[in-house]
Amino acid sequence: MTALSVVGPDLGAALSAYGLRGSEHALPTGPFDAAQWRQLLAAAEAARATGLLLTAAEDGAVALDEEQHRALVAAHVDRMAAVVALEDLLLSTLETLEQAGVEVRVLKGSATAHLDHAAPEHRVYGDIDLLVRSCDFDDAVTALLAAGNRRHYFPPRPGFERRFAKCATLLAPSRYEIDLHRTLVAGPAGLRIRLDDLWTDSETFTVAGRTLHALSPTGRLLSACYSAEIGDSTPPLWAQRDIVQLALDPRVNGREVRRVAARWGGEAIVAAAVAQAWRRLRIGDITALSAWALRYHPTHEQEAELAFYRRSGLSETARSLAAVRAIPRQRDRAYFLLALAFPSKEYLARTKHDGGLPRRVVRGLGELRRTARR
Amino acid sequence: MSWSGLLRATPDALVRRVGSVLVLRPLYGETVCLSGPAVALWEELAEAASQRDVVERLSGRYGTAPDEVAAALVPVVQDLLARGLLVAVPAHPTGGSPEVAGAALVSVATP
Repeated sequence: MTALSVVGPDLGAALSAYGLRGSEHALPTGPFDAAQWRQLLAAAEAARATGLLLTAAEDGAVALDEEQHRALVAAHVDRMAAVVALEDLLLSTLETLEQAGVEVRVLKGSATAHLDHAAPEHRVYGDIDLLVRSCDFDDAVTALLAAGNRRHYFPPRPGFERRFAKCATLLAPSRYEIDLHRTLVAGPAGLRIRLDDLWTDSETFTVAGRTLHALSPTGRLLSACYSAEIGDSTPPLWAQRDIVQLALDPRVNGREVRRVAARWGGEAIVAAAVAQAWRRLRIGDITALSAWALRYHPTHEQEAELAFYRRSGLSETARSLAAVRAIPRQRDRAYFLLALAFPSKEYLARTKHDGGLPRRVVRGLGELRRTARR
Repeated sequence: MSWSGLLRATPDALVRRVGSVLVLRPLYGETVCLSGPAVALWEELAEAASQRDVVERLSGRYGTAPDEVAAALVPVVQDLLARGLLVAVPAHPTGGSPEVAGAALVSVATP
């Protein structure tokens, strides 16, 4: 018997589904020879599921020998050391923004680790994601730059990000990334989100004695769906687990999720994200939301948009150009295109290495044309 | 070897548990991992406690002589105090909840 047949073809999904109510995935029980163990540990690391594998071992669901257990603990300690460093950065970043008078919601990793998982150790993440209001966006960036962070990318024109961008990515002195969002995703779907909906409600959690604000459970589920379905070309397993956990959470009202998704023109996105998570993590339990998602038939236009987002390697420029259609006012569309076509001197000076924005716009238009032909 | 006064684990620490290992980081500090009896010490100091109380409890838990436990704890306590992971707590005269005070209130004496 080969190692592969022992541990199964979708090991990452089986690990990510561990402990989820209703999952029909079964973990290999072991014992594992050296090759099988390497494969299992690699799958756990790739799926950011080392914490779930450790819990499975502690529950007696998988049998590890002493050396394997030690290696798993060491691997997960590495992940958790990064996570506590990120939470340290999160708290100092929040302090900076609070001093600048900017209200913040914590998105994704830290928020979902503390609020949605059985133990925060189950959620591994690699950066921090914060949401601020569009009107506070420039002040927030200024405060974070003054605090010693630096920009990863530069906006083509002053004020562009606050009106059209998904986020500004800043690099902290520790080299960790801070994604400062004003909306959840790039491109047309991000521009259709009614941003005020993200601020109507919040849920708090505590990190090192500080009270932090996250989105409401409904907001977190929508955020997870958008990130999973259109943030990456392939939905990451950890985001799919977030989706299932939240969708099964009695605090989440499936009808409300659908109502808000419809307001954002995002029903197809949410349905696809829930349906894919349900299938990949093999959830047997049917909820009203999962039943709706699994039955949902997107329109041709929705299908085209999902296909556009699923294209791997799609550049941010191509996503930005596709967003033009979602900008309602003609004046804003004109500013948007003008900013891309004639970026500021500062922007051009800082993006020389990749041919600058004009070349990226040409590349982005090429990508859009290729997508349209498919 | 001894420490005087009451100590407790700082509520400002970032904490994750990985099996029998604790991953700890004081705010704006450096990450440290605790294992074995150091984890037991951290757990005992979730509430403010004196050296005598902690030594007595750990001695019972590990079946080790109190002197040996005290000798093993002092360097760990010193290290955690220096990292800001333990804080000194003044004994409250009225018996109410103690307040966190500066670490200077605690001294760790070594020969």
